Amino acid sequence: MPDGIPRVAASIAPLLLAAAILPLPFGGSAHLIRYATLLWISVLYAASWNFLAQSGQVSFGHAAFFGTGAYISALLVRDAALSPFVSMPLASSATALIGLGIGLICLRLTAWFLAMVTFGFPIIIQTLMAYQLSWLTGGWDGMPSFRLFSPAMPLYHIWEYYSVCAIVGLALLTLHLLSRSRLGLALRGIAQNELASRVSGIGSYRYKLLAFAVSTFFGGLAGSLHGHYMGYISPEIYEVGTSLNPIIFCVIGGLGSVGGAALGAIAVTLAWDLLRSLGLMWERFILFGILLILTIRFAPGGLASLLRGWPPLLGSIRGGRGERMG
Amino acid sequence: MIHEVLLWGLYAASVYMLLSVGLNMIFGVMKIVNFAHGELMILGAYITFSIATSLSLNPYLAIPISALFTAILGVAVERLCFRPILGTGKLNEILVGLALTYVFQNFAITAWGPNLRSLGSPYAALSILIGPVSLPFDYLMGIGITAAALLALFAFLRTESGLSFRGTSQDSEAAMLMGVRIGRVFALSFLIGSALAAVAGSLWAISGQMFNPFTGAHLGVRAFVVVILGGLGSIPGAMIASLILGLVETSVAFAFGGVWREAAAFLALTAVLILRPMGVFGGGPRYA
Repeated sequence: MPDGIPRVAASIAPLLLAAAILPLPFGGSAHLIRYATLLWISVLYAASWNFLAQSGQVSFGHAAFFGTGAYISALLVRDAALSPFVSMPLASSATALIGLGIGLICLRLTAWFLAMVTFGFPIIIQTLMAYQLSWLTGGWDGMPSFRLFSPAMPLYHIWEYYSVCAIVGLALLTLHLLSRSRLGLALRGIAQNELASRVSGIGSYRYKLLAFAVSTFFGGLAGSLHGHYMGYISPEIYEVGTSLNPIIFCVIGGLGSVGGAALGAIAVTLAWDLLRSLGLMWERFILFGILLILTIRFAPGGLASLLRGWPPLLGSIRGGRGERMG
Repeated sequence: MIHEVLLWGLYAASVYMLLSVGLNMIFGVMKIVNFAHGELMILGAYITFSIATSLSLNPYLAIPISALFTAILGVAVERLCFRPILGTGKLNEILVGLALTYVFQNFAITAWGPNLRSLGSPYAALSILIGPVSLPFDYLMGIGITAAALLALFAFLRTESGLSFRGTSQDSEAAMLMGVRIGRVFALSFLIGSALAAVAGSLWAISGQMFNPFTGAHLGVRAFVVVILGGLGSIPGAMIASLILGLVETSVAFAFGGVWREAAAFLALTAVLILRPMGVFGGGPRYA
């Protein structure tokens, strides 16, 4: 695993956060604030995916956790009359429990086996939510998810923006610190060589499960933020695209680190919408597919590895080598 | 009713079989899983569609041309996308496959549009009565062509080129030392796999199934389920798993409604992998 990337994250993430927090709510339009809020939520979602990826477990179905966090939080607010600020941590914990269960199923699976099984979970949960649980969730019609603040409140969207910033910022910091802790080190060891890690006394099952719990906790948190921010959820949240987005973000941004996830989510989302405004709709996918292949082949460390040493002051504090993952 | 479930299961299984045998062959020699296999399949269906409609040709006659085009495309994919990253980690191989699905799916959308299409068969009205079951002629053709293609494949594996194939899948380094040009075997595996995928897609379309550029992903995913269920690299495993999946899906759809069809496939996959992490016929746990 790239040793340098977490350090890049350490230097870049606060900068990005500061840049985002200061000017936007004051100078920006309501549209820009909305855009920036959703962007922060996808940064958190991508970072949660990347945390699991650093253990070598690649989830092709993170939408299962994103969507479930959103649904549980919305249900808690609607049926238990909790504040979203109380329901979100509860929903994330519940998602982490589900994630732990799924992690238990995935423990012995690697590579394609893991990819296909994780790919299936959003499909199974979507079918449950849309049909079996439709009495609770409204089926395909979806259900309302209360906003973080009442729209009657003055400047509520600015309050919302700051709350999302604070929650996402704290969550990213937690993920970053966890990546740099012994836990992160163990996970990267397992990703590189599970057998060698076990021989060196790292109980790989325990660590892999822990990675699942942490990753799905924050995936659920991102989902519940998204649900409350959009004000509405439907089973479409479990679509394949929701699962694949964080993969694209993290491969292009840099696998296995918070900084890579943040860089990727921001760069890809901006480029994506720029291409849309140029009138490209489906062609965007072709371009991004080619970009993904080129990234994997020529810059396996992603943008984070290309940006090492840039800007000079931040990136080159300590050098590291980018390496291929997997 | 039981007969119809069986018939539909057998027919769906023949499509899965063509797809999964191709996937397995590529996995056998290169040890990679081509996640864009379903997309090659649907491109094959579209090429057949274009040839048959523009030349107003019998669609069955368009299948060989479509298979040829798709095979060339498959070889290009192997050389340009998979060969350069071979051996750099399974994650990279999975992600390249994912990227290719984006490229092909959206190429199909820009070329043919996102709407559902259908390719009429000249024999749509024809069915043959066997015992109590009335078999649509196109299903019979589909099952027959699948059987013929698989027999041809097994015959090929018995020839000298087939021997280099089997050698490469057993131990590619040893095969290389014995003078097998494994690069050529890799390309050939993609050639045959893509051609089989094109045949599968074309048969699926001709037998009256509606298709759009996303159909490939849906069927492709099921083909992976089959391959993984059966154990990667095991062709008998894939054939048995195709039958199991075809039957499980149709019976679940019959019992709980069509909406559970896709979820059922994954529930079956998950259940099997909990017990056998490398598939029914796969090897024991490996740490690769």
